[in-house]
Amino acid sequence: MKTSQRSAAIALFLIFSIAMATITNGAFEIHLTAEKAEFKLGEPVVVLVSLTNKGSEPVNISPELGPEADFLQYLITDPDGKETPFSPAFVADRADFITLGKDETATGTARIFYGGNGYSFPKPGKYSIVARYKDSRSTPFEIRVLAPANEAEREQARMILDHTEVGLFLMLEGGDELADAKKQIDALIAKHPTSILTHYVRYAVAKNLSVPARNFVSKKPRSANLPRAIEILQGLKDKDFQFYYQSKANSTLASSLAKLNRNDDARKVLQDFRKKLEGMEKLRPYYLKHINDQLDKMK
Amino acid sequence: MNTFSALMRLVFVLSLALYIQGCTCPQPQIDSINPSSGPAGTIVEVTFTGGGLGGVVVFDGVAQETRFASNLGLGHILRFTIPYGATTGSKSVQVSSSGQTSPAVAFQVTGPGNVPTPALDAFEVATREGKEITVFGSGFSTVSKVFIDGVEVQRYGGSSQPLREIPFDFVDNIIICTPASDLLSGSAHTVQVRNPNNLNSNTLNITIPSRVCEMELDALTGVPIPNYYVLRNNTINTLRRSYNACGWIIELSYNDTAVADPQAGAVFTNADLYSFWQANANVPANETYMHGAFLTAHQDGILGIMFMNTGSVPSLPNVERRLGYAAFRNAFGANQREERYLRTTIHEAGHGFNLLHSDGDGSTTIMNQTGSLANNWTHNFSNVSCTHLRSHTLNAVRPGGEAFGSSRSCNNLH
Repeated sequence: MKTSQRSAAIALFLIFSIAMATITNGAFEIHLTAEKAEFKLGEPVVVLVSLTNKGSEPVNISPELGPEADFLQYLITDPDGKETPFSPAFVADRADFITLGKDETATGTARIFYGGNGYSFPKPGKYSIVARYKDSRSTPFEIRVLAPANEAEREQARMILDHTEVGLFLMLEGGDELADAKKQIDALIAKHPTSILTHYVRYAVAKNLSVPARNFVSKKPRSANLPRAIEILQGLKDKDFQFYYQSKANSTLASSLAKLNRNDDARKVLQDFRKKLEGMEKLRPYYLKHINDQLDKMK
Repeated sequence: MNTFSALMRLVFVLSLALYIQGCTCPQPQIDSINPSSGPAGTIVEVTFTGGGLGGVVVFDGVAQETRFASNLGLGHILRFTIPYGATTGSKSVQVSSSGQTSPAVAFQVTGPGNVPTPALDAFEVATREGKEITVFGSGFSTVSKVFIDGVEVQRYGGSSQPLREIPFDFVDNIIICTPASDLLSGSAHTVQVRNPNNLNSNTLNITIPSRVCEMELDALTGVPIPNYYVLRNNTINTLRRSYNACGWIIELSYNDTAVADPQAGAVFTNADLYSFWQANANVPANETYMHGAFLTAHQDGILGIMFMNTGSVPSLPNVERRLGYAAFRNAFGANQREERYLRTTIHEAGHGFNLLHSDGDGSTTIMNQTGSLANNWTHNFSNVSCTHLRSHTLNAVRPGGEAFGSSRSCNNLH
């Protein structure tokens, strides 16, 4: 393991040890945490959630714990102390469920940076987040949104936060008809190619290109542009941004390669990422299964 | 909605006028009679060609009280009840239409039959005008009479509303009728059904909903909109009925049920859904509105989604929260397909009314997550859901109001 990776792993462990918020209240014990405690202004905030059945009976729960499943609800308190329920950009209903036995734990992720009330973290400061299911609540999990360190960072943040279409594009991971989002994203990538914020929007652009788009608005459907998606995603492989997005980027890269019958390359992408996760003990429950499942499908 | 409804009424009136005045049409011919035998009281469906628009069944030489299956069929599917008192044996059935009478076909009366006692369990109204009411129950026939506030009302042959042909299987469960006076929002009434021999149903006490939502439905080519009537647990269920029971009139319109899919065979992404909504939703000014999309399959294999909760996007109308949902037909296997397809439609629309999964009772009601349903699930809202729909501030409920989940913190409004 490289020194930088080892340092990152230690830092992550420390952050998890300090930041994990837990409470047993009602039938479930809910834990909230994140990959880091400090986020750049405009950076997508993803929290990691675990849910343990503390009741006496097995229960059926949604396999997804993000806000879009409308199973757990997330409350965000801003730096001024105002609490707002996070409103997801969409609510998706599944037929499947998982059965959680007594004292068993399910894990998941929650994108809570943009939704029905716009951006959730629009200004610097301390925010606290609570997840709840009926009478069960996590303790508040705190993150800090950092003020821009310079004018360049300020401009990057404003290119996102002043344009709700960018938030929508990031949530949908697509939207060819969102003209303002495209304009801002193109400008962000051109002006600030090494910014961490750019990594996130480049992932969303690549994800969008990896699938066809119907675009009923323009009536100009688009085919998937796999070579371009692969090019962008390969450029993100060594970038340092949240593992949630690294996981999605590698997953999309592998599926795009597989669609071009580059199965060996696809497997290697996933195997390399799995190896990277090996040093991330706390993150593995959140991301490893998906990677392994994808690898299994490629056998 | 109103334009379409007016058009249908015009078609109905024209049809009736043509029927009354007669036309230079070929002689009517009975194509089928179903069933062709049974005791007195059997409800029979007669399909014919020729003649004019509509007609009357003549049984054993006597014209019978006749119902159309639907005005959309322009009256070529007729229903009548074998008269109580008909004697056993072969009887002639004819259709009289536009002044001409068809050749006879035979119906075998097998016995005297018993008049059932009707039972009422629910109602629905189609529009805020209150000109049409549907009652649900059992033991109905084409000769059942409906009384509202003690006054007999006119029964429709079919319905002025689109896509509401009463399936023959449900002809003893559904009656559509026109009240003597408009059923105004918030007004309370009694409803009763009477069969021959003065057999009366229970009295249903109803209150006409006072909240109204226009709901536009669009579908991809080849993707069906859910059946209007779905039988489950011996109960006829409709989307309107579920919402009527909790204080909302849903004014349905079927706008474009054959939207071309530019990428047939590909799954829908969330971005595709968003563009579908933008391109197909006709959001009216100053009306509570929701859009329903019926599509093939979603990239994540989900059953349905309520996807318009994006706050204010500059390129779009400002009030776009909770205004759209979609159901994915291919996600429903053969088992209870139509029942579950309608359930998901009512459920997704429920999210549009700011209803949460936690509003469900955990096993049977509409807003439960599908995975948690018990075998005896229903198309009914829970008491918690119903209280929200009926009683919470309009802005917290109506599509286009507050963001999803707002004002619902821990359901503490209950």
